[in-house]
Amino acid sequence: MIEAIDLTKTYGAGLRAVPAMAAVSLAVRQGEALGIVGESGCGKTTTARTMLRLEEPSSGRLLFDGRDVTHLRGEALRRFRAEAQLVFQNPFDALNPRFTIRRSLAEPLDNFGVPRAEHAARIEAVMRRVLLLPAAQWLDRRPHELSGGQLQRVVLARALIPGPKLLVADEPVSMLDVSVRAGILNLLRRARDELGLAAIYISHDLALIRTVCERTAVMYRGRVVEEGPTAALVAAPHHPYTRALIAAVPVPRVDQDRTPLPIRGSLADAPPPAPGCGFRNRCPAAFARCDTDTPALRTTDPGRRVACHLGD
Amino acid sequence: MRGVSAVLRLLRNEPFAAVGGLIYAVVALVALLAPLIAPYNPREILRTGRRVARYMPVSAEYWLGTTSSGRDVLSQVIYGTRAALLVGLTAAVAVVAIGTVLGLLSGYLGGWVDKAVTRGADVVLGLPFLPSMLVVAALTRPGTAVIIGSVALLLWPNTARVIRAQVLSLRERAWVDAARMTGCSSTRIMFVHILPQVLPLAALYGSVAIGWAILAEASASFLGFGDPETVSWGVMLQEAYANQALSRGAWNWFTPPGVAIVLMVMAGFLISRGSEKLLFPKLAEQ
Amino acid sequence: MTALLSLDAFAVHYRTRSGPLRAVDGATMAVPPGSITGLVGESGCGKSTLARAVMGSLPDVAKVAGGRMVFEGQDITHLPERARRHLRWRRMAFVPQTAMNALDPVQRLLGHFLEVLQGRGGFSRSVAQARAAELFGLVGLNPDRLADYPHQFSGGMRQRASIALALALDPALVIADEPVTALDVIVQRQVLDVLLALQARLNLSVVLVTHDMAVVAYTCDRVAVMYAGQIVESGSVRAVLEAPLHPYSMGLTHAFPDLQGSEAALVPIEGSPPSLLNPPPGCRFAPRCPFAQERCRTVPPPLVAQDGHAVACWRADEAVALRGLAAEPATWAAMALV
Repeated sequence: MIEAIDLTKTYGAGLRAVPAMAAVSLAVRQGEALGIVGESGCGKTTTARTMLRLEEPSSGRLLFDGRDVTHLRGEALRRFRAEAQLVFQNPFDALNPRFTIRRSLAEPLDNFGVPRAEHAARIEAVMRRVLLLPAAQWLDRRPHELSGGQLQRVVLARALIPGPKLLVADEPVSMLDVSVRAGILNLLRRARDELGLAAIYISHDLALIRTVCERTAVMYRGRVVEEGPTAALVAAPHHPYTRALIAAVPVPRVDQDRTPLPIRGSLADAPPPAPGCGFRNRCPAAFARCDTDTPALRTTDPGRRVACHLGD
Repeated sequence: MRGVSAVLRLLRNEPFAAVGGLIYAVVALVALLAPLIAPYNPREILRTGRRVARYMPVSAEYWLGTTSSGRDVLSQVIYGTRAALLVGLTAAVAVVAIGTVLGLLSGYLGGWVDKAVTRGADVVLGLPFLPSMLVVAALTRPGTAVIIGSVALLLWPNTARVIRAQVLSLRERAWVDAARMTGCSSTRIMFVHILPQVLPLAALYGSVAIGWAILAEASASFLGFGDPETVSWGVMLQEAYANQALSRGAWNWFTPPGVAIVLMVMAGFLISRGSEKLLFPKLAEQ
Repeated sequence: MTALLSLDAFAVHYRTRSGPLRAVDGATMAVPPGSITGLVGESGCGKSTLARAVMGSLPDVAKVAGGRMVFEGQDITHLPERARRHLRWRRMAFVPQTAMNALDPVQRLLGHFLEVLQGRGGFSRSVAQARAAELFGLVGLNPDRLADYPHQFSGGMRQRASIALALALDPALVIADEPVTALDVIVQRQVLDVLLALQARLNLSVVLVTHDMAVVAYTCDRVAVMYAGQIVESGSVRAVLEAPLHPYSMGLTHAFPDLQGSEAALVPIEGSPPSLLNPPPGCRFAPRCPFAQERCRTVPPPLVAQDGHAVACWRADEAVALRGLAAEPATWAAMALV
């Protein structure tokens, strides 16, 4: 459904250029959910925003449903919005505080030219899908009257109402209470299944991604370092960063591994200069080649890609 | 509706805003009912017997006395509210309209629009207010329209800068991104989403602008650049000065219009101070 | 073993225009010395208020509304501020959620330590400097960096610096309010490892306030589960995680994904916590509890302890059976239709 080929996004210019996203190549099929996992500054949000064309890529190509949307502008870009939607991270900030729920939901219908006569029916349908019933009880309220979980349902409803083919969720539950998270994730899952959507989940929480995504990509400092089926990736990670990430996640069980992490340094350290692998200053297994060759994302097993020299 | 109740609650809780609002309300009422309240026609030359009633002192017949040409001071003050409100409101609306739109465009669109507007604002801010207005008045025909135009042209930068700053911060909010995602055009985002959020701030600057406009009109009229045909407080002061009312001790002539101007300008500032809590609730919480 | 800190039916109310907000309304728990005790709950459950109450740094609109707080054998429930000041930093210290709340951005780190060590502790400058270096070493930071400003540190390092600062005067108790919530997962792990190492080395007692059960499982020996201003269950981490007695704990432990375990579906707990202005009669969790009975809705269950495991639930004796049901998302999903 959507394919990013060698996408790069650089902010600033010259000496102060910051490559938020470098040579990212990802693809998501219809009905499939891809998780993008990483720590702060890894570029996962930039990737999501660029794939949604909220930002324009600095280089590379973006294909959506067979069309090249890399440099869409103006009206064509506006119409693209109806097909690729975003669920925001902060439910308390994602809705215009002065609009009623109804108005927030009707706005995409207005913008995308849905005739007025159909509005009520479509709003009702989407409210049913996010289980905010009876709809009439909610539609005239304003955001400050709803809880975080309820607001996130409205955000999801607004994303679904134009009938998109791709849904991107940027940390959709990280700002919600734990008890509410499963409910929202279930709604997302059901919407995906019933509507056959392609989905991309952005999160720092690998454990959460594992419960909702069939495939996962791990990003570090703007690059995809590993990608593959989630179960296989978690069970047998190839990239040292993935291994450290998995080891670092605490689990809700008393008996768990507390041995030191297989990683040195921190993200705050200056990144090592190119050429060479951007992870080599932290990698426990770095060797000579890592200093000279930037590892490319290569396919190791079917469906799995890693950017690392260790596999050779 | 929520806005109205918020305003009413504000007036109850904030004495500053209440006093300012009261002054405006009284002035508006007086302006509206001028023909009913004023004892005389302000331009009518009054006589006692056959002599023109010049420089009459404060009395039961002429509550504030008369001018050098025999006109009733009180009636002039009362009718002066009309000119004050006309100039004040029109100029304030113009300042707010220009300032808000320019602030909105430059804040949201950025790029060359932003550069053009901020450079323009810098230039205008560098101009001294009164002399510039007098130059404009001198080059064109002196009159109320010129005064309103000058105020609008010279005072928009303050509003524009403040609106621009607020728009810059609002632009980063997630719901603006969300509006883009739902297919809103930039115009729609600016005027349907962002504008309602900045209107309270714009209104605040508007209320201050009313005071400035009245002051401008008074200054211009006082210096002889106003419209001598209208009844306004500034023209009153100009006449009083020209006829040496001060040395004659005719305080009843120049004090009332002066006080009226002071009250109007003060009302603008009081409302703006009192409205801070409504506009910036986070500051109040501290 | 006597507890270092014990709370008995402790209550804190906030004064609001709509009446008292019962932020903490019946907290009973004990923190044994030399342990890391977790205080876990979701937003609005009162855990941060409780933490601040223990430190004695409640805002003016809040006041202790009942119960007792005993620290190091002394009843400090209504201790006046002057005596509280004496306890702060010396006997108990606080590590706030973001180090930005603890560290002055215009003061170098060494200055922070000197302020506490010289100002509060009365040490000489040279002794204070040596101790500051020692504390930095304890948390794995390079003592040379004492000359830096807080903004020159990364988030994880700032948290570690805050922990080091809290330890300056060798307090018996450290209260850490969500110390790792804002950190990346690798950094989070490093900070938690620092806490574990400190506890082992100094026999430190810590109260770790968090919403994350996984963090509790990794770091804590004991845990108290808080809901709607009350502590509904407390005990050893093993007992509460592996054999929870309260339905809320049961739901909570199944609401956290387990990366190392099987891909079990997460459990949703429908509904929202009750209003603390007007809490429901009876058990506060009853409206959301799939096992609630009539008695639960009318009479509040008392906190009953057995073998160091305390729970406030009328159906605690049926816990084994309820636990099995609680592991099924369907049990909880049924509440959505209520």
